[in-house]
Amino acid sequence: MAEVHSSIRTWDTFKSMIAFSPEEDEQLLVDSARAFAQTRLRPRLRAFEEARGVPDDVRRAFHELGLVGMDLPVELGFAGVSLTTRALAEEELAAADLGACVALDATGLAGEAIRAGGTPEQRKRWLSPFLDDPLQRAAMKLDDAVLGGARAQLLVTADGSVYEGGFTGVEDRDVLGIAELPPAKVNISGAASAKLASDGVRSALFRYAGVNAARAVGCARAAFEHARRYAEERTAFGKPIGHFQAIAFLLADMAMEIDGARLLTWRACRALDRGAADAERSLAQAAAQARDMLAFVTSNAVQILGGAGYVQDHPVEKWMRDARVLAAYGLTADAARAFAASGEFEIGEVLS
Amino acid sequence: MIDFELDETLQGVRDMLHWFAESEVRPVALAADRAHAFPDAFLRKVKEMGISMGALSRAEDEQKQRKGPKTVNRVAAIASEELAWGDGAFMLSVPGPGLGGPPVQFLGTPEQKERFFTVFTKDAEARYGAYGLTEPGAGSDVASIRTTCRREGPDWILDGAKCFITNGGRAEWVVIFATSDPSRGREAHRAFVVEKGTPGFRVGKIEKKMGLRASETAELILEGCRVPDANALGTNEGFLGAMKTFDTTRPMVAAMAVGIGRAAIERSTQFARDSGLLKATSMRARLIADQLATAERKLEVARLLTWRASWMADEGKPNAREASMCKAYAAQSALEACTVAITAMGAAGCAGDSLVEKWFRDIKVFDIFEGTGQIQRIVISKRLLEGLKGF
Repeated sequence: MAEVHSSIRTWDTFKSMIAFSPEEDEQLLVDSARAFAQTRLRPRLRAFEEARGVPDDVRRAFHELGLVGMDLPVELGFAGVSLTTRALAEEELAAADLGACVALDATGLAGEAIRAGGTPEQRKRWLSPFLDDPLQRAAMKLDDAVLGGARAQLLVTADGSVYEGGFTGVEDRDVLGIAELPPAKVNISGAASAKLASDGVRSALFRYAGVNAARAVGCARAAFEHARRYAEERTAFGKPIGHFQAIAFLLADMAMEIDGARLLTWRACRALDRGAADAERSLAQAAAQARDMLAFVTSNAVQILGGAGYVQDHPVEKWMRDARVLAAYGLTADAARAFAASGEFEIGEVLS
Repeated sequence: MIDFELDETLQGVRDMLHWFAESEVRPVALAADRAHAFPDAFLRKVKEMGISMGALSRAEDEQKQRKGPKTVNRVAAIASEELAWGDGAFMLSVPGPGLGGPPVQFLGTPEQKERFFTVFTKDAEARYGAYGLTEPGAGSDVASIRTTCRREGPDWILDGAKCFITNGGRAEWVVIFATSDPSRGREAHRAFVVEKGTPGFRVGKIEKKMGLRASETAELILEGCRVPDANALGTNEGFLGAMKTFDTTRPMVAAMAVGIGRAAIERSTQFARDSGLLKATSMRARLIADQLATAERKLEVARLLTWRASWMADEGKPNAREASMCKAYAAQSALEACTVAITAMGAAGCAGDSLVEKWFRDIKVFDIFEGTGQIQRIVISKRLLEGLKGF
């Protein structure tokens, strides 16, 4: 407990300061995202999975709330919130259903690439339709599997080529997780309409890493909360299993990891919002941390429920599957780690 | 506001402390470790510079009087990290009330605060306070302390022994926790300020330790020790006082662990850079680069958890859970950082004149003192499983 006591009397002069509470308008957005997610998404989580899709009525409701492309530029008519604010909302959506949360992001990684690498005219042409049409979709093809690829009207590839048609997707019916967005194989037959600026995809991958990290935190929070309640109710050897330190300490570790990953995600998003020099490294750290954390938390949520966690009466087995798909989507966990270690980055690392 | 930036003033404080840690503390750290103490002249100089340990509580009072926003806990977290980056044992040897400060602040009357805190400002000597809770038979299980207190006329008589007390041997006073009835657990705990030279109070052995050797760790013995009632803190709030202390001190300890872990990672990353390892393509080189980056990442998580707990303390929000989280996480990640660092440096890291070797020894105790990692997890899980009765 050291502090500079008598020689520096500056206690009252601090301007900005380390702080952890969302602003009022951020809190309003978080509240509305949570209300939507808990009432419209969570109750139908298994139905979405069964149907391999989020139905149009849910898409329309999501669109109506202004959550589609919420951090896209205000000049185009989007809400234009900061990445930090979006991270807060994404956590709430993913805490209800990670699959639906990813599926409802109609602009997604492709939209980020267009924002980062498109000319003002290209941005207007390709992003504006999302303001009016709740069923519009864009997909990003980084490798063979393309999330959302079978349903998109717009496709962006790893080299920044934009296709407005001339591609068809074939859905994979048997997929590990994130049911609404089965990876599709996309066959491209037509020509690209345009090519984005060379660093567009790269910038998009980093920015989107912040979004996905926030989603990981949300999904983990859901799994943790489910396991926590189970530990309070499930009885073994004459008492609730939460009384056993093997379970209680595991829950403590899960909670610590979730909080830690959330703070690292906030810090990375803030760095990007401020245009800080270390933003990319910070985002890579958050991506790596969030995905390690999500694997740890979802796997142990299943573990705490035991056999009950392995069957589909409880959602934890789905979240454990969803977690692995998230780790392979966008800036992969491996690429994020490699970047954090070396400061080097090649899109090829993301693809392999 | 969600913000992680230090403003210019705080950056200035950090830079000044970093300069001090680098140019004044680091050069004497190894010698102090071997001598099991920092030189008196050096400690007086530290005091003269206005760097004080545990004066947090006083700064808090001053801040309150000036009606400024409360920031002391966050500033202390930044300061602790920088100074511990210089040397962990130094941090524990910084003159001032130390861990004894918070219980006097939380439980003491204005007269008691005046009396016990002014001893640190009356002259230029390096003077210390201490915190006496742990006993040979009661470490983590603090409710089981056996040091007794009983009323005798206007005084209290204390009997028992305390161990592992930081600065206990040289302290001007020690906050001693005792029980008026061992069968009644926590509710019978009382806290007393026992001053140096009190009849029946003496210093036992000074410990030889794995690390933090330049910090004094003492055994204290109380045999019919007579303490005036004016030195009793609070009423029956001994246990509460002991626990409340941790809500502000655990983040400081966590910040120190982050500082030591950061020092180790910086040193070994520099070593890896100088020896070409960071740019090499061999599997071993890539593994080391990843381990260093992962350790650094986890230290960043620990730092943020620490800042959050400190921010909550400043905001007056209950933070027992968050304080335990940052302490547990920081101790673990800093130990991992020191382990990765010493491993990455190979034989050079293990050499006795390598600071990394010292940090590796120093860091282990951070998962033990101020509550072991297991105790932190009890605190955390109790607050997570609030629906459980009797947990």
